[in-house]
Amino acid sequence: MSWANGSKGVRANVEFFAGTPDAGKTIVHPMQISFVLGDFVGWGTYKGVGNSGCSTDNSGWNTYLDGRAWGTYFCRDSALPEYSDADDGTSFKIVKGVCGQFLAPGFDFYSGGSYRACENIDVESNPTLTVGGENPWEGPNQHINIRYYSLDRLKVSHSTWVSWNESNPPCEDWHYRIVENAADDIKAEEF
Amino acid sequence: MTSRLTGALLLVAVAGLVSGCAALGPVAVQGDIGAGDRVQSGCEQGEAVTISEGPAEVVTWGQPPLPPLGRLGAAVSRAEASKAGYVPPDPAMPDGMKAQLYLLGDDGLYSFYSAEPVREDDRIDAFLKEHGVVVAMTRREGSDVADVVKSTIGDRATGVMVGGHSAAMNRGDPFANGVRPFNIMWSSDAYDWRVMSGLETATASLDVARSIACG
Repeated sequence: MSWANGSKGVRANVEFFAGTPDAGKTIVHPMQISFVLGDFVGWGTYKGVGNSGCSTDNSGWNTYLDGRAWGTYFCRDSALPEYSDADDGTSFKIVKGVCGQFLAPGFDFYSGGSYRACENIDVESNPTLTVGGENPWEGPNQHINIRYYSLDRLKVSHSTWVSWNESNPPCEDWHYRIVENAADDIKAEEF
Repeated sequence: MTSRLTGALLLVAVAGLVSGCAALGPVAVQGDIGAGDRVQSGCEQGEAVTISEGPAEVVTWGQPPLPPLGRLGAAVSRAEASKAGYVPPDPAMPDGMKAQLYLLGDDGLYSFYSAEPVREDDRIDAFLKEHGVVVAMTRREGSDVADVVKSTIGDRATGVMVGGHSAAMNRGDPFANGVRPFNIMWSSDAYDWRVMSGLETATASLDVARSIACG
């Protein structure tokens, strides 16, 4: 359980539309941070059947935060109101933090401009950042359009947010996975 | 034998098998260990353990892509790891398994044990599916990791003793390929430890952790 010095995070303003539930469930992840041994955290939004631990059967888009802590999955409903396909501009942010009664490494979650929670997981060095991932468990990609009005990164040892678009491909398409290859560098690649 | 066990959790059946580890305590107590409980040393090999399994349903939550093992750090030799301050553990492994890969990251050393060679572009789920075991030995930066795990995942964690250390053990939820690893976490003075095991039983997995802590 470790955490390099400096800040690290991702934030975005996101629009989702034209989602078609697949097998009763449509899930899109605005952003996820994952580690080699399998722990991860992420913001998710869904229609239809919710994940274990979260509310279910929603006609509009609901948001949740979820992850895996030392191999154990968790899902928490966000306090954000359900929104429709026509709504846009929802903002999400995840940034490193310390939390819990032991002030251990974790991630702070923000949505709609408000702090929501901090979750402890097993944090390794070199996280992988993924944006716009669709639920891969129920068949092929669902071809949901996701537009990032803005997508920023917070690099190690930096205190200011930097647009991913400054030196990387545009991130308006879910095909882009953001991969941080070094402690102080993030790049996007297609997947 | 008194213990403060809550819910439908745990329980360790004492098999009475005692290894050559020094300073063994007389009574086995698992779970949330109360102030008045006597504590074993946690060095007994083969002592049966039962842990909270948790749900085993097929996962549909949308796990992000698993990064390749090589993202943990640079592949190093045993000597190079030792020179960097992380002397690789030498755990007792089932026949045929040996250290196949050492990865040295910013936070510590990750040692991979299996019967077959391990590549840096392998993923953890495939490695565990082949009954591999990874031992993470990372620099301790604060609280005891067992306390953090117990407070985070609640009754999905089972308290066990590992070489005199209070440890947290659980069985992870399934990866996409169905594998459910056993995890054992504890802190020593300088390091946080995590044994992540694809071995078939909780007891065999715990034996690996105990062999590390007890030498």
